[in-house]
Amino acid sequence: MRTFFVKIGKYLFIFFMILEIVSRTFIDPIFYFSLDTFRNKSCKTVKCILSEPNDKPEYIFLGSSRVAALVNPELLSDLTENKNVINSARGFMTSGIIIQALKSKLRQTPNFLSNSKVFLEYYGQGSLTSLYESEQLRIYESQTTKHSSQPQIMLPYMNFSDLREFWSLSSNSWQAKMKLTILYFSASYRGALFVNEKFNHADKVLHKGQSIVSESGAIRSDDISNTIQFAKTSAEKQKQRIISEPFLTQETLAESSLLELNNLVKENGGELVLFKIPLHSTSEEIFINQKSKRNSEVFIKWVNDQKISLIETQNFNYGDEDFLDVLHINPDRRDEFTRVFYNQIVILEKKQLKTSIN
Amino acid sequence: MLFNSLDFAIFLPIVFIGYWFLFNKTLKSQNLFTLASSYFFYGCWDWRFLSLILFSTIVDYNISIALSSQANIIRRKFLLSVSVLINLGFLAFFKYYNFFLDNFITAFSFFGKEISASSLDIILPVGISFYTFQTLSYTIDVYNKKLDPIKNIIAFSAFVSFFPQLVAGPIERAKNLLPQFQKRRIFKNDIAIDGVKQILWGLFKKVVIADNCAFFCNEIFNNSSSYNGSTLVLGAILFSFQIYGDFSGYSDIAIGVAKLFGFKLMNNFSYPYFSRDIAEFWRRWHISLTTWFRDYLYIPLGGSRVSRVMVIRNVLIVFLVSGFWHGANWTFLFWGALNGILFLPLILRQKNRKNIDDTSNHFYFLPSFKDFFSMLFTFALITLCWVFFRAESLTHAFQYLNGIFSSSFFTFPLVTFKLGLLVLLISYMLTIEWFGRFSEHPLKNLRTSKNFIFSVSLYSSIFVLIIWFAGKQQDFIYFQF
Repeated sequence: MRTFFVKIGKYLFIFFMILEIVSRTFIDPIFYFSLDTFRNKSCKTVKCILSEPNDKPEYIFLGSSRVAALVNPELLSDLTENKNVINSARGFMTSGIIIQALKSKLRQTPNFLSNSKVFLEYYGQGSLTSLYESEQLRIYESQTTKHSSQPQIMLPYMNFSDLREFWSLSSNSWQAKMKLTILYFSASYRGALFVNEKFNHADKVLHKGQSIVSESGAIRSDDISNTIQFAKTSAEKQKQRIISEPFLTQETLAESSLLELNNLVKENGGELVLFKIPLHSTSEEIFINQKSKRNSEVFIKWVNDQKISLIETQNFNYGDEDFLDVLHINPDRRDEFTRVFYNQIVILEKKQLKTSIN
Repeated sequence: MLFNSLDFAIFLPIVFIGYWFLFNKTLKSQNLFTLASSYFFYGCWDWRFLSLILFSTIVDYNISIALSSQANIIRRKFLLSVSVLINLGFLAFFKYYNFFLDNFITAFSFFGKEISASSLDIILPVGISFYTFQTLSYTIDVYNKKLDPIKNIIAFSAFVSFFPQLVAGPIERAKNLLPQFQKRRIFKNDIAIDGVKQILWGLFKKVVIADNCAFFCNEIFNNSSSYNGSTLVLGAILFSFQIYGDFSGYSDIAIGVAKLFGFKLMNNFSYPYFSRDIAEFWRRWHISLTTWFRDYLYIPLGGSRVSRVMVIRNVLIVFLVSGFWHGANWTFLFWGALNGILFLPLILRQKNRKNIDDTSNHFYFLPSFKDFFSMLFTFALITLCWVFFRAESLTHAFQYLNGIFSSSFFTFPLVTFKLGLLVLLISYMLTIEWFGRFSEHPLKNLRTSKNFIFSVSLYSSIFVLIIWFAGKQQDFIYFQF
């Protein structure tokens, strides 16, 4: 019996060592490159992927997969005469990850945000309004098994001391914390998940009747019906949460993740700009109530007090039919929104120039 | 609890440790623990159907004892009939009730007579076809006095419900498996190591080959009208590998798991796609079922020692019943009939045992040209038959074949990145199987496996391929039977 366990153990150990070496050497660089949305995505050569770190962005977009699907960074770069534009928004992004990612980038490149405009999505009654204390270093976690937790999104922005802080400060469950820790230490594990995910979604072309939109933003063409269901359930939950939560106040906002983000951006020479994103009627309906209206007024007042610019995109005409899956705008209209957004940036910058001259 | 699930990955080590460390003292404790683990394993699917297994076990146990003490031939026949009726009755109700009812209604409406009867919402108990045949073989063997009845209900219950082979075979013969439950098992290192190797190979075939082929097969078969002929051919070929990877993978895991507990199950697959004719294919494919039908149906019908007409009848009956065993659908019946028709010329010309030896046993590295083309031709025939097995209905199968034999056959098939990788993975499987074809499973005595570096590279590569290229988890195809 002992010989059996020794032999199996010996082989397992050798397998894992080989897998660990292969994963660290060949998979990790691609894994981290593909996960790190704060990198310059125009960098496509192996040399560029392996070299540290990225170009400093002039415009950087933050937010959820809705923003990823909405803004075309390459087009915006062309329109702004080759400004370095990064769309770092993605699905399951949390305020905890956004702030941690920026901190991590600033550690590598201290002037990462200097003279940059940082665009953050907002809708309904605001954005990142919850308390920073409860949000810091928090990864997405759901009660449903479909998207149980998404620790890999945080992974590129963590070092060992961040991991220790994650265990002590994050409000996530121990299961999610454990998952991130295993991902952090085991290249075999993260490499296996990554290769398997890439392999299983290599042939989206086979799924007939669905657009091949996987390259545009964070929309998964093989998962549209689930996304619609997810969006509807989330909308209902959010509606209930708004009813049960207390009113938004200036005091709450003074301890919010948004303030933490704004301070981080300002301290490092950047400027935070909020922009309103188009919503499907399912999402709009969440905010059609007196409480949300009042919360929204409080939010706008606070944002103005903080001198955070707001961009409205009312020139972009859309309807429910322009949404692919209730959450994300159809990729056909992505470039159009980007052009509308570009015009708003021009107006904002002209206004800012005029103010600074005066 | 699927063999390729996390649940089973937790279940197996717990049962293994419990079996060898806590319940290893006596034969009774080993059998009791095996029985409890098996019932737990089956109960994870649907605990309600445990009562079916229990009932079947008690009936067959008592009937077999009654048979042994009964000399009167009429009473013996009556007892056997009771066992057969109860076992097949369950199978008929759960598996075939709706099929017969629907066809009965259709037949009457064809003659202008409308009858109304509603079909029942019946859940098919997983593995019912397998354990029913296993217990039937026991009673028949006792009736034929080939086997003495067992007088230990625990051992017999553990034999009926033995978890590695309970839900999808191999369909064990009491003669082989039952004596193993009557002798205390002793851990043997070499056998356990061999079991682990076989599990590894089975997992590779299931999660890498079958599950990835399923992705393309489902797409191509479900949308067959929108693909060209060459892609439909590709879909059929991939299904051949899907069903092989799926079922032989399951069997390898089952046999490997049994070895970990000191049991030797019968081999269920012996490299069927290296067969040089249909007869050889059926000696190598689902061996436990094929030999069951041979022993309990074909030979009692007279086998091949009767007139030519009767041989034709016997062969067709066996293949039709075999097709029907797979499921209550005309497609399976047609599939069975087609295989029977392809088999007939060989048996009528007495060439069915022509290729009884191992494939290319004189040429280790490559087959002879003759063998190669025979294998290719046999594979093509088998693939053609699989179209009926996979199709949703006979109409769908004929539409699929119509699509193949059209002008678009000569156009370029669907080619994708993942498909290219899958072809490489299938080639890898076939290469390993080719070099290991003289053993029970290819990793058993693969030549040069004595070389440490070679064996580490081989097992590491299989291990890595399982981890990296596992397809989306699919149920085992044969669970539905």
